[in-house]
Amino acid sequence: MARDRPVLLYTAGAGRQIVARRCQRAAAAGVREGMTLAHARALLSAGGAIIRPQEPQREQAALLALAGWALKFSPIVAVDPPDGLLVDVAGCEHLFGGQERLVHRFADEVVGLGLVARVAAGPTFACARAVARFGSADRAIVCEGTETLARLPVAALGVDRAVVDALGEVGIERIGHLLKLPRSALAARFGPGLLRRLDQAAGLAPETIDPIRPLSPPLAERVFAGPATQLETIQLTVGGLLAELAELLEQRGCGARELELQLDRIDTAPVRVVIALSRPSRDVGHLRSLLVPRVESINLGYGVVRVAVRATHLGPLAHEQMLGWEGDGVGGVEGADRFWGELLDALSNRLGPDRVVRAEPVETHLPEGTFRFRSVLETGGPPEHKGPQSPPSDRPSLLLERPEPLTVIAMTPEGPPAWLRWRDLQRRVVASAGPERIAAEWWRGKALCRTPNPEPPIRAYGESYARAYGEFILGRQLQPGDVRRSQIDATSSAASCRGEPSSLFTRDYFKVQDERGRWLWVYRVLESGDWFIHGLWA
Amino acid sequence: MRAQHRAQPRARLRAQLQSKIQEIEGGGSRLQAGPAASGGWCRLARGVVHEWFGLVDPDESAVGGSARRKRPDSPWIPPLGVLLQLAGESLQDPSSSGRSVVFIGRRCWPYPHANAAIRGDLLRRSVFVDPPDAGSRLWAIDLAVRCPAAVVVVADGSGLELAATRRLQLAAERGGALVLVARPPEELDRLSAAAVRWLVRWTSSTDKTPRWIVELLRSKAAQRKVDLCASGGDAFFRPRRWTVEWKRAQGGVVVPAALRDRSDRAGQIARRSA
Repeated sequence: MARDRPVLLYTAGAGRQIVARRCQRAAAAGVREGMTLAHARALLSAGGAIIRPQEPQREQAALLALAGWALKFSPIVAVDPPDGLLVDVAGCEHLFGGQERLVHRFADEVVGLGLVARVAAGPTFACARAVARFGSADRAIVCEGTETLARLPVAALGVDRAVVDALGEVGIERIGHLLKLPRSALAARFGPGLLRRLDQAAGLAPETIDPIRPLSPPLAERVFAGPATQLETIQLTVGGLLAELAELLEQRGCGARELELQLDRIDTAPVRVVIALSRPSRDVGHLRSLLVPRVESINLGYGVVRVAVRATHLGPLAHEQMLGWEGDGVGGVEGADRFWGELLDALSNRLGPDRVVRAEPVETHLPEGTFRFRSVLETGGPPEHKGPQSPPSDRPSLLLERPEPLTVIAMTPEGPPAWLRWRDLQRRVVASAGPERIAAEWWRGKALCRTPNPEPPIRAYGESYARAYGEFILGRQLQPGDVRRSQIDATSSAASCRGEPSSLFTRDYFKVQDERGRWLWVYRVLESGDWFIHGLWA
Repeated sequence: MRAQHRAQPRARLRAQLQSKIQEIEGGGSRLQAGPAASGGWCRLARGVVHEWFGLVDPDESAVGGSARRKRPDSPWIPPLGVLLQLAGESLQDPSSSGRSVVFIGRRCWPYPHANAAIRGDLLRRSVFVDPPDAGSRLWAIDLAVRCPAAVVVVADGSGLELAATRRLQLAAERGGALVLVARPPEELDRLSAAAVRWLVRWTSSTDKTPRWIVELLRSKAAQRKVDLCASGGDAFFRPRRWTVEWKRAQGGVVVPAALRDRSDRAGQIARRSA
C-alpha cells in the first residue's frame, strides 16, 4: 500500500519546511526539490502522501549498504553522495556477457530491491555520472563521450552552482558550448575547476574515487605437513588458532558473533562447524569451550591437512581494560554481561538456538498470541521493550500449550460451568468470574493465526459425561434410556474444532474455582458452544 | 581455678563444634538470607537449593498420602505463581542489578503475559530454556546455577536423584543464585540434598482469589535460609505454614490482608508476653 502513495522527505530551516527528496510519483504530480512542503502538499491534494523529515545519516548508511551490495558486479565501488554509486566495471563486463547486459542486469537488480535507478556506462566516471543524472534514458551506454556530453547541460559536469549560473548569464548552457570556447579564457573567467571537470569528463585528466574497502573476516589457519589423524592434535590446533584469532579481533576492537571452523580432510570434502554467540566475544577460553566439543563429533577421515577458524560475523567489543572495574565478584554490570553471554552461548550451542529463547510481547488480544519466543542468538542482549502493558483482566500463571477440551455442565447456555471434567478430574465449580470476551482482531486473516488447533476431544467422554450428568442433575445412576447427547457433549465438538483455527473464533473466558480450590481459566467458543481449558492459576 | 581451666577447653571445643556443624549444614557467611525486597512477603537465602513440591490438593497428605499413589505419568503442575513472585522480588534487590532469571524446563515456563510476569522487568530479564531430555536438563540447571550473572534459576527438577541434588546444592553454594527447583509431589519421599523443601497446596477461597498454602518441610539452618515475613516487617511470627493468595491489584502473590493482620496481632501478643 505504501508503494502507491507518494513519498516526500523534507528539511526544516528558517521557519520553512522544504522538500529535500521526492519519489517519482510525487514528481509526476509536479513536486520539485526545493519547493515548500505546504506547496507540495497542495499539489498532492490528498492526505495519502508519506511525509518524513530527511535523515542524512540514514541515507548515507543506506547508500553504503547499497555500495556493499554492488560489490557483486565489481571489486571497485565508490559512493557518490548523496544518491549515486560509481562502479569501475573495467575488466568485469565479460563476466556478465558484455557491457550492455551488465548495465541492464545492474538496473534490473536495483529495481528488484525496490529502488528507482538510472544507470549509465561511459568511458569516464564524470561522463557516466553526467549521462546518468542528466541524460534522457534510464539506461545508457556511452561509447563516444564528447558527442554525448555536448548535448548535456553544464550542470552535468558537477561544477558549483555559482559557475553554472555565471555561464548561464552569458548564454552558455550546454557542455557543447563550452567545448567550442578557448580554454585559456574559461580558466581565467570561471576558475580552473571548470576546466578540470571538463577534462575529466572527456578523459583528458584522471579522476580519483574513494572505493569502499570491505574488510575480510579475521582468519587464522594452520596447514599440516601431513594428514593429522589425532583428535588431540586438532583440538590443540583449534585452541592455538583461537588465540591467534582473538589477537586479530582485538586489533580491530571487536568480538566474534559467529565462528566458522573448517577442517580440510585429505580424502573427502571439507567439514565446517559454525557456532553462534549471543554477544561479541574474543575470550579464548570461552570460544574454545564452545568449539572444541563440536570437534569431537567430526569424522576426521584419513586425516586433516588444514584447519581454519574464521570469524564470519563480528560485533564491537570494548577493550578488556575497560571491563571489570567494579569488584563485586562478578565484575559489575559488564562483567555480569560477559558471564551471562557465556551461559547463553553454552546453552544455545548444546541444546540448539530454538531451545534458548526470550519472550517478546506482541500486540494482540489473543492470549496465546500476546508473546512470541525468539532465540537469544537473534535478540542479542536483553530486549529494549519495557514489557507488555497490564492486561485488562487477570491472567493465569500457566497457559497450556494447546487449549484442552472440557466436558462441562452449565446452568444457563451462556453462563459459567457448574461442573466440569478435565483429563481425569471431575469437579464441581464453586465460584466463577466472567465472562471476558476475547476475539481475534478483525484484520488478522487465517494466514496470520499461529494458534495450534485444540486437541480433539476424546470420544469416550460422551458416555462418561452422560453418566456424570445424570449423577449431578438427577442425583441417581442413569439408566440406558436416560443417556442422551446434548449440545455441550464433548463428542460433538470433535468435528467442529478439528482442522479449524480456534483463534478465529470468539471466546468467552471464565475464571472458575473447583471444589478443591483450583482456579482454572476456561472458555466457551461462541460459535460452536464447545468448552476448553486454557490456563491455570498454579 | 581448676574449674576455670576445665571450662576454657570446653568453650573452645563447643565453638569448634558449632562452626563444624555450620560448615556441614552448608553454612558460613554465604548462607545469610538475602535482603528482602521492599514490600515483599518472603525472602529466601541465595546460594542454596529450594525444592518446591506441588501443587497438591488440600486433602492430600504430604508424605505417604494420595500424592504418592498417583500414576507416575499423571500431569503435574508446578507452583508457578509462587515461583514467579519469588523471582520478581529477587530482581528488585539492588544487588540483582544487571543480572537475569533463567527458567529451565518447558513445564516451568510461566505464561509471559501473567500479571506477575509482566510486573517490573521480570519478563525482559528472563530467558527460557527447553532441554530435550533429563540429562540435558540437569546439565543446563547446573550451568545456570553456577553462572554469577544468573540471580534466580527456576527449574523443573522432576526425576532428580540424590547425587544430582547434591551436585546442584554444591553448585548453588558456589554460584550464589536463588535456586528454585520445582518437583512433583510424588517425589517427596525421594532423598535429596537440597537445603530447603517446600510444599504448596491448592486451597479454596471465598473471595474469588486463587489461594495456596505454602508449607516449609525442611530447612537446614532454617533461620538463616528462610525469613518469611508474614507481617511485612520483622518476622516475629515464624510459622511453618503460610497461606498466600494471588492479588491482581498488587500484581503477584501476597499474604492475605486478614491473615497479615492476624500475624501482626500474634507478634504483638508475643511482644507483650515477652
